[in-house]
Amino acid sequence: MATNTVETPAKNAAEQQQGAVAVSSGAAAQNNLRNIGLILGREYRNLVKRRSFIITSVLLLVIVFLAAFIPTVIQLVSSGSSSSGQTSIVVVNEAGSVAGLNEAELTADITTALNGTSTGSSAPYVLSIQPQTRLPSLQSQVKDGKLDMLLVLERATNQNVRFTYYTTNSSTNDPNLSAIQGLTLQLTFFDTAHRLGLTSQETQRLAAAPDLVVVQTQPSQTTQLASESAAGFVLATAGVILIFISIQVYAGIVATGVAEEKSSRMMEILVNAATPFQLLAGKIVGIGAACLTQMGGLVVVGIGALLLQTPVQAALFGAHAGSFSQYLTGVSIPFYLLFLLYFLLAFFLYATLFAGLASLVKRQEEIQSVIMLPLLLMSSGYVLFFFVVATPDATVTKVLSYLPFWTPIFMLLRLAAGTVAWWEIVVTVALMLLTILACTWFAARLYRFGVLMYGQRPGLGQLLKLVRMN
Amino acid sequence: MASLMVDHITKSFGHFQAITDLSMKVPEGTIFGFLGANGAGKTTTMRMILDILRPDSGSITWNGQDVRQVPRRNWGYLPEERGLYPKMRVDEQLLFLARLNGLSKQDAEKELTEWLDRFQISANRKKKIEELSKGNQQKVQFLATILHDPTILVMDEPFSGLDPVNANVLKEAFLEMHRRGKTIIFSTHQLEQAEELCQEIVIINKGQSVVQGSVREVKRKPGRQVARLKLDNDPEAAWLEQLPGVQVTKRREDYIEMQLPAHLNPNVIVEAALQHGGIISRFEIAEPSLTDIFIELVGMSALPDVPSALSA
Repeated sequence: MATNTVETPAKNAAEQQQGAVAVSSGAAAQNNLRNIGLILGREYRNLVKRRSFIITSVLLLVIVFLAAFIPTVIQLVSSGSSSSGQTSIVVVNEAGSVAGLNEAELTADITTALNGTSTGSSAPYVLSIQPQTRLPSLQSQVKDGKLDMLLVLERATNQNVRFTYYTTNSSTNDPNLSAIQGLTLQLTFFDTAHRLGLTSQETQRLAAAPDLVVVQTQPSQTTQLASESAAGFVLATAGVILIFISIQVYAGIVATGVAEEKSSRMMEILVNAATPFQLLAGKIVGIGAACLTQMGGLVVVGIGALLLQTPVQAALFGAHAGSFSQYLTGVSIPFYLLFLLYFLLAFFLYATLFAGLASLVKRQEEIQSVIMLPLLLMSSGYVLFFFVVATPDATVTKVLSYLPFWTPIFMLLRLAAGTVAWWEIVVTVALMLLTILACTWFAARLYRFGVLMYGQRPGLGQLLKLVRMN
Repeated sequence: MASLMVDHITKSFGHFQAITDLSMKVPEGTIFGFLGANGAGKTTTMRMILDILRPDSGSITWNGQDVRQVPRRNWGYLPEERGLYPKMRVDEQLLFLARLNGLSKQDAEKELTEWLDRFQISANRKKKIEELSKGNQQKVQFLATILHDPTILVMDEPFSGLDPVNANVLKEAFLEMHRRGKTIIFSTHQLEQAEELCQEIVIINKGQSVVQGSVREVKRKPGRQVARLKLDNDPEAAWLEQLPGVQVTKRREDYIEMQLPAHLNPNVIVEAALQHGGIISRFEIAEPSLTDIFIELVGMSALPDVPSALSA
């Protein structure tokens, strides 16, 4: 029995109840599954029919749907006035012969330098050569934004070609500048070589592509394409933020539900009809299922909207649109399944703790103070994530991923980096399951006497004493 | 005869002794009144009967079977602290509880319709609890206790907070359950109600039984009788105080109430009144009310309505 210090026994009878141990009703245990099912069903319906839940779900669905369009919108905005997705460039040659090329050869050279092997509508640049007389009007066209780029070639006698580049873009944010720099460098190089007396064949040989072989020595990185690991990093960060926020919200709903039942005194009737374990399990699984429904809806809409980006972009930008579905397909299906698994485990772990602790409060407003401890635990893992996010292979990350309360966060990071052996997944999941079992045992004991206790909240020492009791 | 036996139970919370060596017997099919001041241990005892709490020592049995073994659906519990899901519909709520208590869905629906009709709240079937008047909430709470057709009803202060009309509806339901052979244990502060309904009562104080038995037995226990007298020409009747053995307890507008020892023949009062030239318009021998006995046994300090934080 817990020993409480009491001034006058009769006066503090209510407080004394905190020493009471509400014992589970043996006979009610007969219908474990049936009762859990009934409670689960009630909790599920109660939550999904709640107006606030429906409104939140709809809002989130809209946000997720719109968020999927953000990259496309950014691309649309940054592609500027060109509705075709191609940038038009006009070259005015006042320099005469450049590198000994005639006008047709020069045009071909510039086109290749800018567009590479792309031709037709898939080429990023549309090139035209205009005579010198049009220069003033072309300059004003660039100023008015009607023309994207204008390149003027001039030459003083026996000097290098001088290039003047007019653009609609601001200097700090010009995606075309590097292309122009490459082009001008190449033209100057060829022109100088020609003036030094090399034939055009010799000049071409000078410009031959170097024979470069890249050898990556880290084995883990050879298994993943660059696009894959980039997508993985994005998904790991998004996943961790998602887990952090949704666990807090969803486990918070469980805690509120427990406190609600207690403050509305519903518990008084329920404890007669079902055991604390049934009540706890039904509540957590029921609310978990409702939350999973919401989450599932968001994921389906999110993936659907992302897949929608490819045809939308194709329509907007033509064939050189980036494929966003690579973010989805670039990371394998097992990653998503493991994400779901760790998410569920994290929910059960924290929800169980939250529920047990919430059974100690008298009013809903007090929930925050009792769930502080598990909340801090989760938040510290979240903060640590950003310290190790750049080093998924480091020993510290590995160690962190084995701590059950933080496993979901750090395993997600490691999975995204692709450095996890299958047995590590088995071990971490087993560790989490064990922790969940321990937490359920702990929470059920708290719950058993907590739900009928209306006196002053017991301290930590008293709590441990109560939990140890039979 | 079948009965609920509470056999020498003791329960303490920390250093606080809530129940000390309490025994009582509730015969099957009776309405059993459980009386006591706030903090006397009524709720604690009821929770032990329901196996929500377990006694430190002693045993509680139903027909010789430990209450832990009695299937849950045999019990109906109306807690003192009323509680229902405020945002849940009446029918959904009651069906949920009835099914949780072991009823099939069809049976639960049938019982629900029948009882909503009886309580004349069928119109509220689809309403949320929070939309109901307090009286109707109480009715729903009562239905939550009895819908699964339990054998034993344990009700903690079922009449508190009810207006006379609703109290009457509940009283009728009580009697209906009684006719159906249910065993009803209820605690109350309204002693008149206990007097009216109960075959057997127990009064407990500070966790101990003070008196128990049939209402008649309990009333006779103090060994006193009560007489009421009214004199048309002498409303004060100051001479009553001088009569040996007679103790005036109440002076009301329409009568004077007094106690006299059981062995004293009440005729002495009539004789004395006539001697003093009184014109008797009323004289009656009454049993002491339970309130009198309660006050006498438990003491003035423990009167039911004395504000107190205790509810153990």
